[in-house]
Amino acid sequence: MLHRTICMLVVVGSCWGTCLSAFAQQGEQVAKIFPDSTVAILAIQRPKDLITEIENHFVTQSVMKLPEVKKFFRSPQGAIIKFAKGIVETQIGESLWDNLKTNTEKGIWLGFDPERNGVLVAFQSSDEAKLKRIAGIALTMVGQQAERDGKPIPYKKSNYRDAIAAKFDDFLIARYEDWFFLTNKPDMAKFAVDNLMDSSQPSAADQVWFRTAYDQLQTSLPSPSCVWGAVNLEQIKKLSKNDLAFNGQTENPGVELIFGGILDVVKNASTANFHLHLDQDLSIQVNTPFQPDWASENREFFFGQNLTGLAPKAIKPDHWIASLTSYRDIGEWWLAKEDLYPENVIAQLAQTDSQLSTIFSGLDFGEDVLGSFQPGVQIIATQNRFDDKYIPDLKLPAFALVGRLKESDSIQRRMRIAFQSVIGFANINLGMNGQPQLEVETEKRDESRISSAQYFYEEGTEEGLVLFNFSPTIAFKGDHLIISSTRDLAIELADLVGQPKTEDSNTELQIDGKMLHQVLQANLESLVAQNMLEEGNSRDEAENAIEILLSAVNLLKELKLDFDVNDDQMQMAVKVRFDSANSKSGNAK
Amino acid sequence: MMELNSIDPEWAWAEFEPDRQNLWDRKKAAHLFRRSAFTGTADQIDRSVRLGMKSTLDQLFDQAGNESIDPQMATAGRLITGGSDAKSLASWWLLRMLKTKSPLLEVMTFFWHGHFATGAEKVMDSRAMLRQNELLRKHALGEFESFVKAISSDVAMLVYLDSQQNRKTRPNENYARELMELFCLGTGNYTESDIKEIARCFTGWEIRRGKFRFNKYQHDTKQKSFLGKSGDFDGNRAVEIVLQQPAAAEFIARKLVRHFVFDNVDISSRLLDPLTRKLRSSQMNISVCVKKIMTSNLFYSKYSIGRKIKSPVELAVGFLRFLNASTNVNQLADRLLGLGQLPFYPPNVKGWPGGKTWINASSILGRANLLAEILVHDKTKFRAGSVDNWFEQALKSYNGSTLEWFEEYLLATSLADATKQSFARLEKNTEFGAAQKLAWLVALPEFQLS
Repeated sequence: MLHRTICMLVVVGSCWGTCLSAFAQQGEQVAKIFPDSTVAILAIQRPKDLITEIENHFVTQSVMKLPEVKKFFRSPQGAIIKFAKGIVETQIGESLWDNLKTNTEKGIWLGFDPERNGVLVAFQSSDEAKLKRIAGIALTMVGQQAERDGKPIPYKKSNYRDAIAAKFDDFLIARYEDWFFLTNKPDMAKFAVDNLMDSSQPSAADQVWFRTAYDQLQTSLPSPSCVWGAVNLEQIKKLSKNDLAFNGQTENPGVELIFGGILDVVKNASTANFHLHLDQDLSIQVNTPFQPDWASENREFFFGQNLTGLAPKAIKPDHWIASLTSYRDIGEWWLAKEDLYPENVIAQLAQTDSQLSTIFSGLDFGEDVLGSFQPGVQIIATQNRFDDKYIPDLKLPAFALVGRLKESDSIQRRMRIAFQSVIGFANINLGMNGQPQLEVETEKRDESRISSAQYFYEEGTEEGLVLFNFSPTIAFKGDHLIISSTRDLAIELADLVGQPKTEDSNTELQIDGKMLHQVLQANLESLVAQNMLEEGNSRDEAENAIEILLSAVNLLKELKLDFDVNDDQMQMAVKVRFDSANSKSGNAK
Repeated sequence: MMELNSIDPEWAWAEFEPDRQNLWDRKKAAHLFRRSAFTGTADQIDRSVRLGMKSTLDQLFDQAGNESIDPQMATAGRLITGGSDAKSLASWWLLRMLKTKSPLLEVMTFFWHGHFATGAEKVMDSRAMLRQNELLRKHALGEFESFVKAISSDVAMLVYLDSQQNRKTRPNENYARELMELFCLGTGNYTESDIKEIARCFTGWEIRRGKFRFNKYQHDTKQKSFLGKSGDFDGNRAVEIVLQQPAAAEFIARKLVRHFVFDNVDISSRLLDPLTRKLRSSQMNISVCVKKIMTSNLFYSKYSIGRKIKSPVELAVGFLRFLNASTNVNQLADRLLGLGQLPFYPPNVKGWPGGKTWINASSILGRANLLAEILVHDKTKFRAGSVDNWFEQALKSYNGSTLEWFEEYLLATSLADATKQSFARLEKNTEFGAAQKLAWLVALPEFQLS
């Protein structure tokens, strides 16, 4: 146990958060340490800056204050880690963090080679002597621990050219000058050493996919200390030729509606890259090359004509939690379905069309109902409010879909009748199960016409029967259509919709961390109960686990995801803004 | 069987008095906990040895009488019924069995769930199933008459026995039949005519909008004659008349003895007689009868110890309680379904047959695999931190070998010499850790016995 811990501290710990790999100087030069069959490279460009940023970041400090984290460091496993860290620091004469910064100063890199099924993690130190010393200390300590446990030394030392390696059962570590390698395939470390010494073998750096990705990165890197990565999509597609997604198709209509256009890009692009930047906020951006003719005709519903489709402006009523707004022409999507899906899915959709057409009194659901929508829809979530008398156990947020209709007047009445039919069907089912039924009311408010259905609770309705405060509503204002899970939200949205405006991107997702936290906090009891069942936790343990979740969400101020394409690239950007004010308490309760 | 019939009934049900030849020791305390509380931890067993049998039983009954429902458990139950998924309700009950501080109450509730068997698959209303579960718990150690009256108007039971509508023009005989055959008297103690007449008593008992309702317009108010009585009886009066039958007390006593003392044995009326009399004289008080069973000479005799096969629920819940551990109960429920015993899903109105039916070539392997998986499952949490810590601590406070510890606390019977030798050989292997040792031991046929 201890020898592995030491190794992890020194080696894996150095790679630290192994999802990150790095590039110290020029990415092109360093990519030569990876074989030409490598399909993914990840780099941390200035680890020292990033480590310092993470070390001092208020999120890290808040996490370290969490009771569960403190508890872990008081546990036997935590004590072993602390003990091992103490021993290592005594031996190297400085803190492990400082040593880590020096020994990775020129960069950290990670590459995956599917041909070898190997992963190589490499980092380059700014002080060769320090690297040599800590590697030696780590191996000595591992050997001593094995001796204390009465076990054989778990590694075998060897030399390869000027490199020194130690081979464990399932991985190998090696050092060459100021370079350090960790890999599950010794062959990958040999390749790296060979190419560092004589650059004799074709490497990832020579590959078109890497050069394309790297060139694109050069223009978009926000800071020198960021993390970046590049992927050979072409090769991945070859390896996953039976995967529908890589062939630009999906069997899931929901996935098609949300991600369909991205599948077109994945099908055609040969490479993708991303970069991650951390300061007070966290930004991640994924880019791929793009050409307008990659957008297939049947995905015009996704991109719009000439790629001009923009999402409607997000509406943010009171107690707003999240919204997903996008340019989607759902009428066009329905019409294009036969070109988008395999036969079995088309058959299912045809059946759904037929069933829904019955509800819509003979109107064709696809062509007449979905076809009446203008492009651009958004889904909005807000915190639900509850009648004091009937507060449900599960306090779900309220949801609404907002769209616009092409010929509003003619379709409105048909939709209202369909709404009443749906409520009628629901009432039959609810009545059969002894559940409270829904009562429909239609009202006019200013320029809006609102039909809503509310549960009818008799006096003395037993506790536990009111599970979701749900009042399905359909509302119209001008050419706007609002379908909402509650009447209150529909009314608020009807007041807010006005002249159509758009965002700057095709699709945008926004989440308000504070409101999300409030929703989770309101559902604390149910989250704890669910955790008890799934984790077999006691009440206290479940509360602790949920507290960690709440603490994490409490640090989130806002999450924003934008998706867009232009004439030469597809771009997906995620921005996470943290709330430093909440980090001071460090406690969700 | 012959041997059983030769037992002196008065001796059998007389209170067990430990003496120098027949000590109140760990084996007996462990036996009591296995039957009354799924299992006892090593600490509980040791404390019981110090306290003695009577005080241990008093504690178990006191805990059962003072159960306070964890609010989280109540919320969990309500939330699960909202999703109408009775399988999650089974997970919820398993968690309750694992966490309860009143294990006797859960053991009894589970016993009555098998007696008044009602299956969620047919009822299809998890809220009604949860309410029935609360009803079973409320009456589990109370008076049997009020229990039967309550279950007779329980929504889940009426749905399960097709009695949602019981009209005077077409009385439904299902409930009347099961009331006598399975719930109160047993076959041979009533006639077809009695069934028809009692069914008339229950006319007008129906479900409306998910609740029980007495519809006086559908109740047959004419005279009914059954079991030697005549009158305009309703359902509650019918229950009283049924329970006044001499066979009733013996039927319940026999069922309790089969559950708590030994499996699938044809127990003579003569042997049961003192217990039957006690039950009758206590106005069919279940608590009195169960306590008499658990204090009896017979309960602590060779006729009882190791004479039952653990049901899958007893096996898994008992093992986890002994380890002071918990696990993902949703997955546990799935595995128990595979082994033939998922709470809320009895196979039919007769409940789980139990006894030797739990064991066959595939189920013995499945049971061993289940316990081995529990030991290494990443969601299994040991209060001691890990199985290694738990095992180390357990053995540290015990003055003896691993096998002796295992035999005293966890086994109802002794291990064969060949088994002991095999274990000794395996124990020499340093790679044979705590989880492997426990998995090996609990896979033994002896561990399947209670």
